[in-house]
Amino acid sequence: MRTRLVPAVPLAVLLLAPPPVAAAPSDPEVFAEVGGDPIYTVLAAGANPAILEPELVSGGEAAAQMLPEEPVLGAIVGGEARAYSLWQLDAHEIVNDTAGGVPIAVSW
Amino acid sequence: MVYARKVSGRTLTFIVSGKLWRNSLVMQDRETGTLWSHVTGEALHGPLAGERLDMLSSVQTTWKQWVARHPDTRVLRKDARIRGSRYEAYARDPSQFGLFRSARAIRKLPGKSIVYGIVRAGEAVAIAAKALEDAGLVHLNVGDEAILVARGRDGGVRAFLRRAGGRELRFRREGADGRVRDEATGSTWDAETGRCLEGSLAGAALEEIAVRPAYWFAWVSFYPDSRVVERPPRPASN
Repeated sequence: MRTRLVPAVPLAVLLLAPPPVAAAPSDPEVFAEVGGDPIYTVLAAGANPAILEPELVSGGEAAAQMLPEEPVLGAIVGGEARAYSLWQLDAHEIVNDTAGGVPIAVSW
Repeated sequence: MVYARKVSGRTLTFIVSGKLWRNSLVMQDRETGTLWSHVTGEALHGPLAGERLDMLSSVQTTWKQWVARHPDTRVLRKDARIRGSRYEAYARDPSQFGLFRSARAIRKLPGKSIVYGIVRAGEAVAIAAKALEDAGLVHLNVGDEAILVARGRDGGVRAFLRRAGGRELRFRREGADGRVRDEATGSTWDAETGRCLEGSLAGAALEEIAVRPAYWFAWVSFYPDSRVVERPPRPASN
């Protein structure tokens, strides 16, 4: 049977809005305008904590923290495989990592 | 999205700016304070404005599928108490489109439709998830490059330049094991890795390129002129 991911994975990518702000702030501050669209300031810089020094574990160790159907962002960079739980990325939005000697930024 | 975070020889560290542009995350580098769109990798504002991060290919799948294919994977340590998405209600609500109203028209597809976006040489194409439902393969040309988009058995959607051995290739799904066969040489390929496993092209590999899963409303706010592939083209009739 072919796996269909779409119902299982929220695919929030591209619109990660800061968490529980239910509606647009009534008077959002416009920081600048780029390409005809405003850059809005919604939260203080760093209010959602990006991961700056990622702690990595092996697949075996991760088994205790991950559910089988948990959605992940997977990448192979410089020959090294990396997986990031999308549920975890919801809260952090950015991970600064290095894989196979290549500094990477994972964003969600 | 995965980006190489080196620009002109300088490694950057990104934090969450707290700002949104086109309803999407704006990253900020700690070194210069420049603001970057995480959707396009472009520096929007600040000392590095105009620079661009290189986007690397990545895939969305499940933990079970990923670790089965990559037993040597490293994983970001996670608090085991995190057992769901905080955006679940948002993802389910077909009427909620980000925080701010977009000035751009959302036509062609329902706003919350999932699309897989590809940009090459300034040309943007959005492949609707349903176009990948049947054969799991879409052939297209973007920015003069011949591209194969394939849904793997792991559910992940990847894109490859469909050129090898000096020619452009077309593929057919072969059986249920996730393999595909090219029509020109009959060689067998793995649609998850792009590697040719068997046949006259054995050993060749298709180059993987970045594909971005997105809600249609978000994609179109970045790429208003994007082409849309809604369903696989009908096979030529005899």
